[in-house]
Amino acid sequence: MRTEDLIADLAGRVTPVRPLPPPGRRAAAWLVIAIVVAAAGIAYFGARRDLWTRLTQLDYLWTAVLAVATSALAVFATLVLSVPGAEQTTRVQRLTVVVLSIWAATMVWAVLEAGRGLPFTTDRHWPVCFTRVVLVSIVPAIALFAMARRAAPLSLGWTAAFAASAAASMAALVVQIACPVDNAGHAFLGHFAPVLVIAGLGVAARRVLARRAVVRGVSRGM
Amino acid sequence: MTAQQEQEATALMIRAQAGDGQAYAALLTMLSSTARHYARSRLGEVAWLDDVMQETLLTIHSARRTYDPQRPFAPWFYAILSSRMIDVLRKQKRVRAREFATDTLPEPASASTGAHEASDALDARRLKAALDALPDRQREIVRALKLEDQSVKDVSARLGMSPSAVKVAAHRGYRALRRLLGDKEP
Repeated sequence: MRTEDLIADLAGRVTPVRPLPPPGRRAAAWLVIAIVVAAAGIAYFGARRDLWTRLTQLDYLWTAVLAVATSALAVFATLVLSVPGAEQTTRVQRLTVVVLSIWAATMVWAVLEAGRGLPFTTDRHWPVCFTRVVLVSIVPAIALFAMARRAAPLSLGWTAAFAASAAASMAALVVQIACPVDNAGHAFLGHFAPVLVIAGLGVAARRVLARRAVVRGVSRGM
Repeated sequence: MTAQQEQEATALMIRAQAGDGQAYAALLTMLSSTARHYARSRLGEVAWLDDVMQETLLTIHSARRTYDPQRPFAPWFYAILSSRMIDVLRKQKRVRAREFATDTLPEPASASTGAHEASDALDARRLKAALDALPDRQREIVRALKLEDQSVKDVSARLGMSPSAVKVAAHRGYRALRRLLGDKEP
């Protein structure tokens, strides 16, 4: 197709569009969805009995803060990345990676400090927590992928990784609130590892974010 | 893009977002020219500049709701253009790694022999059947280049394809023809 024909075709089919709200406002909309899902998850699984006591302890609180920070930054990064040319893209991207890395380092350090390795076979509860993280993250992940897809992400891999991480981090927090097990290896395998796995799955599914433009019956990937 | 062009593009995009087709056509025409100039300055005179331009225009079309009129137009536009340039560049590298493109088109079996020999070896019906078995675009290109003796440049202009894409399609068509005719030869 000649470029002149393409322009005529696109101009002939142009319809009014409403500019997307800023990423901050869209992130707030997603956080509402995430909070509703998180509340439902906690209500279903039940919060651990000593939650208020644990929240006063630094190790527990620090991990929870990192999960919240990762989720909030990742959702913002997702929505910023989905707008071409947004100025703060690189800064938000780096900050999210840094916070996620601190979370990872904290979890690894806790396992090393405990000195008992990872309880792959000895702890039968970690697959339950792992599954719960996956289940709780499904709806927020779908919502965030849909929001990102509605915009125009140019960097599909990063956008998908952040979207999946945002949902998974929030789900990890829900499971941390519900899970009564205080064991570094369990927390790593059951609460943190699924965040990495879901982020990887998000990257694998990145093509979902690509919109397709149909020009005279010929669809072309974006 | 100069400051004046950017102002003009912003004004046109605001009207395009409101559904004004004329403003949108004017904007896309202006941007295609800017995109071509920008891509050429970075990639040189490559055969697939049109691909970069068209992919950029298609992305602008899908992404037009993401442009915020309160923000400058140029970063939004160049982010899309750079991204599409990289995509097309990667695609071309993949194609080059897989395909053999050359300025000298390989001769198909039917054309490498003289008219009399060809009529001896292959009867017209078999050739027609083999041509008919090709995908539409390949058949059209093979027919134009070898039966109608058109130039690659003319065919690429007529079909809206880059010359290298025409050569690649022709090469695939010749290979398919050889296979089809070769299988049937006694």
